[in-house]
Amino acid sequence: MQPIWQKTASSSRWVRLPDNSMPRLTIRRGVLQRGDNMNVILCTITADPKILDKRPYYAAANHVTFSCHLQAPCSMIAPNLILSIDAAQGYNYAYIPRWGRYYFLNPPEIIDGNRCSITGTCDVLTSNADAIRNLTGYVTRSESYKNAYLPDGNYARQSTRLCETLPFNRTPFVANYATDIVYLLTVMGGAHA
Amino acid sequence: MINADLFPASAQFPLMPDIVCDATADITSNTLDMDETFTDAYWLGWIYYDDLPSAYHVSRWSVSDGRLVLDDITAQENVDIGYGYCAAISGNTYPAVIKHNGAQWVVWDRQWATVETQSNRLRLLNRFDINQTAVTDIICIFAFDIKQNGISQSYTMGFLIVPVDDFLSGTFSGSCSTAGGNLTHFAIRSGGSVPSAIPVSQENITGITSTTVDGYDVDIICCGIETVIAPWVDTDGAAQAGMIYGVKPMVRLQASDRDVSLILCSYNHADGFGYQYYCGQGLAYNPAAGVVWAWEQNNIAQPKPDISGDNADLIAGAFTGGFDIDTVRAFCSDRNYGMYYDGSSSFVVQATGNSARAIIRRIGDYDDYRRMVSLYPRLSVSNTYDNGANKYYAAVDTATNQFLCDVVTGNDITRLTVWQIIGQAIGADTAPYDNADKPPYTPGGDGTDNTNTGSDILLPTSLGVGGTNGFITQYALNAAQMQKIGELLWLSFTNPDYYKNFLFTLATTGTINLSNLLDYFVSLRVYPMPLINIPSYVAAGQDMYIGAGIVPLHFDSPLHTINNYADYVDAGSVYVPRYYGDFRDYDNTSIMLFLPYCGTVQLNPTDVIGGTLAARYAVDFASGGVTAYVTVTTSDGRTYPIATMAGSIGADIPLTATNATQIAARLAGDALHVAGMFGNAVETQMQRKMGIAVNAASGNMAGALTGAVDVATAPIHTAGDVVSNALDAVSAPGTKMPMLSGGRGFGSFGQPQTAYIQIRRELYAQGQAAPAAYRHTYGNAVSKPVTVGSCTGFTRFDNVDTTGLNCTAAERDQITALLQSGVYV
Repeated sequence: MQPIWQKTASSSRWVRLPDNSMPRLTIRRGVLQRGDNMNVILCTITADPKILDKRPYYAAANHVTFSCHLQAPCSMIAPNLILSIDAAQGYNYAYIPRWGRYYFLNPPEIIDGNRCSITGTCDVLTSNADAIRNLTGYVTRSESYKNAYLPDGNYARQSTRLCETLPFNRTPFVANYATDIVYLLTVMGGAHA
Repeated sequence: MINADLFPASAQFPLMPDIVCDATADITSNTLDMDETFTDAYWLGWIYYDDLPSAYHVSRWSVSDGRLVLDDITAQENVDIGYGYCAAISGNTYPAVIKHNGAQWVVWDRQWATVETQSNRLRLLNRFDINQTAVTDIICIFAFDIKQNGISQSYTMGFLIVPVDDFLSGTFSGSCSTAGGNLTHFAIRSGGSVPSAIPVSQENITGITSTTVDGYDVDIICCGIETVIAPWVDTDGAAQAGMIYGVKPMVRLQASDRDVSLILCSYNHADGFGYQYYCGQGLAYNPAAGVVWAWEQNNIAQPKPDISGDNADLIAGAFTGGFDIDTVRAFCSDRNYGMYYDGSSSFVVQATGNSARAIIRRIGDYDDYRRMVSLYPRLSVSNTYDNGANKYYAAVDTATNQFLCDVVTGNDITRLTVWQIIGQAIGADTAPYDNADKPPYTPGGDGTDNTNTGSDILLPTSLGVGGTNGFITQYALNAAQMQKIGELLWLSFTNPDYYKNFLFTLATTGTINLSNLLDYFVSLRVYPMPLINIPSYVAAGQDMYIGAGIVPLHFDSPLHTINNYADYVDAGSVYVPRYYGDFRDYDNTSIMLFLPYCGTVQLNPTDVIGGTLAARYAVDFASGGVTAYVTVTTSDGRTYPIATMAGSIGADIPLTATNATQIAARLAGDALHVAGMFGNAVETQMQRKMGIAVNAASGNMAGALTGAVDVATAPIHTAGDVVSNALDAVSAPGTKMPMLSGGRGFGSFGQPQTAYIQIRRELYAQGQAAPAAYRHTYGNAVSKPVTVGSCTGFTRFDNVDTTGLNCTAAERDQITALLQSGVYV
């Protein structure tokens, strides 16, 4: 059994834990089992984490399958993988077939001269992409839908104005005061049939 | 686009739809009832001559209750009525045509196709477009071609604008007479007076006057033609009559939203006595500014006048008003010379006998123009012309009125009719300038623009208040007539005997009490508008009656009276364009409306964007006040009032010293009031009324009275007071407080004379349309229930129903949070 190294909470130094201080756990049929291995497929993807379904990026990437141990305590959502140092370099994404989940990988931490620990965070979007697509919700911002008449506070307003002056298409008033005015003299009576 | 390939052989002008009419109708009387022949209405005008060429008689027609009445048709000798064409048209109605065959009125034909063939002297393009979504008025255009022995001699034309309901019921009235009365027409005819708005210099050319259709942009373009008979003096000094000046095609172009009109006439004449004369005339007309450019050359003997210099600015579109010129049509009769635009730099007078050209050229951007109606009355030609560089479709078969060939190539051009060619020249009604939103306006996606339902709220069609009732009479005077009144009042006689006799008669007949002569003069005001813009003015002869109306004061020139105490005066309309095509057109946008003599008011963009504002002034002649009613016709066709503004338009001229003091005091009070308005832009009506009360309480009774009668003058006598107080525009319901005053008195005459709107929009860093990057990173604003899978790209949800997810509670929370913060689907 390889010794287990761990950073202390009070310092950044690595200390070796007693051999019996950390149980070896593996998962068998979804149940954590001591001393078991499982496969993990590692790769490097460039997708934005907010992309719902990263499987196309995953499929297009180079994959490497490794056998790893799980270091307790951990969960399916945030597993802690024990890998050989040689195998753990340069990957940021993983798929664990046994759990059917995709994970974002954090940088590996050296355990000893041969092993390292990599913690993963479940990519809940891709892991549940198909189910999420069937969800119903009220969309408020969308690249594909729009309601142009909803006020959008994200528009950046400038201090300047666009001023447009439009005259009416005609006017009843004068074009020439010398000729176009009317003197209106109102007199009492005067009606003459 | 108008270019050298304007008239391809394959060009076909779309035919008008059939009209439904009774071709078997036989009208033998000189009174034409609409229901005798057509299910649609029609109108006629006519010209006759009794002994060519000694005298032509102007058409004498009128329409009364939808019945056309021709005057004295049977009383004239040697009357040879040729062909009368009548067309009724609007944007969505059918044209109708009838003719008079010299004996009776018969249906000419139901189709324009036949009309095209047979009426080469009259064509009508269905380019006229009243607001298609809410047509309430119909433009009826007619024209006449008078022939003698089959040869056209004279033409006349005109139009009436009538409400649709009246059109359908045939209960409208109108007249082609310009001697006062109805002005809802124009006419080109001999012998008429020239409207001042379009001062065509030739005495015998009655100008073209368009009128307004309330609430709509009505643009008339027409070209008419006439044979002018005018007296002249021959070389021996002997008076001659009946000189034939030739024909005068006229074209008027108007881009309504720019208030630009262009009238171009080019004509020539031959005297028939061995001399050759060449004449040309052009006018550019702006409804607001009047004629802004004029050019004319008359009686230019050979060599031909070089008019290129005169037209240089025309070609360059460099009128002083900055107007563009679109089309120039020149005409050359079959005997003389015409001028044409050579397509590059100048107008050219072409002296090729017996040739004629329909020259249609383009200067400027045609797409800016939208609506055109044209009558092309005549092309008579036998030869063709080819200068080796330009195309002129000159050859016209006068029997069929079809162009025969391309004058450049000599190739048969499949006998395009004149009308077809003009139609091609004008092109389709696309990209309307005056009713267009600014690019890149796009629809609003899932959102909806303004919607308006319910009923239209329309203003009364006219203000027939007052009339002739014997209490007061309103005389509309010109400057010379004014002088005569002054002479009477101040006894500064230039003709003492006349006035002495007049006054003596007055005294001896007891008509009025001379000692109180001034009591009979209620008010004298100046209105800054031509008389023709006042609907209820009528001709009143040359005698003015005062008091009991027994003894007239005679004038040397005709008088007019204004029959109504108040009249609607149309102030035009303007389309309020969208710009962004989204919420920004409504939010953070301000729209200021300025109305002459009323001031400014802020409009709610939501109420008017995408609609057409129209303004009508209710002018109170008894008080000098005015109330402007602003209506909006929305993009979905609803019309309703949106603002009312009050002001003063009639400027008082003092009749007595006491009156002058009153007027001065009122104007001073107005000035203080205006100053207060500037100082408190949000002043309310109540505050204004309180101000009046304060004035009174402080003993400033003059100021109090001034404010109380805000729009009115302080009329001299009781009759005026009653009417003035009835129109207290300050307390008028719905009055919006103007930000700026419309002014008072003569000083207000200096303000802009055309209403306008000023739209102030925010500028956004995103420009007119949200760019793709914005949509990809921020997303468009939307509020819509959807499934996640129906979205693409950046998507953010307000709330999501996560039912159906097979995951842990923590994962479910994460998914919800992520969807609410935004994901890329």
